[in-house]
Amino acid sequence: MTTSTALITADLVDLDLPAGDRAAAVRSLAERLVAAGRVSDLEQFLADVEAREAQMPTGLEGGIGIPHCRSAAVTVPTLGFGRSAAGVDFGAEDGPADLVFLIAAPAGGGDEHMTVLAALARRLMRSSFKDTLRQATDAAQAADFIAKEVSA
Amino acid sequence: MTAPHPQPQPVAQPVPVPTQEPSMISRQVVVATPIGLHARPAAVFCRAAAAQPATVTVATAEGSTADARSMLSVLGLGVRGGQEVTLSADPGQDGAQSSVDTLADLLATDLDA
Repeated sequence: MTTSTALITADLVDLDLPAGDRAAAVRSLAERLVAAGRVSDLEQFLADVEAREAQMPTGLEGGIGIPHCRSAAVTVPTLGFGRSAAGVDFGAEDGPADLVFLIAAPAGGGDEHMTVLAALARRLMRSSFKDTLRQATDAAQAADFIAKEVSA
Repeated sequence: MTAPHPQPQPVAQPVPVPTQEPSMISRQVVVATPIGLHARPAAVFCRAAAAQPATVTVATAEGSTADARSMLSVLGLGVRGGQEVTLSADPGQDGAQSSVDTLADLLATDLDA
């Protein structure tokens, strides 16, 4: 590979996740990763995400869910973003998540997904970052915004 | 033993900015969990911090700080295994020393084991 692939692109953003539970939300986003050629095996990837989620829920304070895993089914480090009007329970004590970030890292990779996680967490502490994502109307703009913020 | 001639002390010697208030109760600890403070280890740590009577701050050597009770805040530090962090608490709080000690002892163990 000589070209670096963007962490997140418009086709990895869903501003209107179908209503449903955690598994449905993760599956919906994961299908986008499969369609983009970033995940080779949907069911294996979902099993790996669920195994991680079973260790400890990934819901965070303030309406955020960050399902994530390293998986052999992941070909490129990827961030998917979904917004749920109804909210999805990711196990946070303060309630369901309306902002869901799916972080997918290749199994053999280094710790760049942790760098992504840390950068994302720092942005998520700022209400302006969350407000921008809650008000976004265009997937491409949301993807650009997240990519710029998280890589900054 | 010949004492060196005492050096005159400059009156307005610049004081290095301390990384934390000298009066704070603090402990430095190397994070023992290999994957660092994220995922389950971060959750275990934050949950333990929330159960302490005192508010404890986590600081990295680079100077970033986080509220130990906040997952987002702690995740944002991006602490790796083997990295040294400083835990501190205001001694005016009840249980400040025991809170810092409890959390430092926790970080010194492998939370992913």
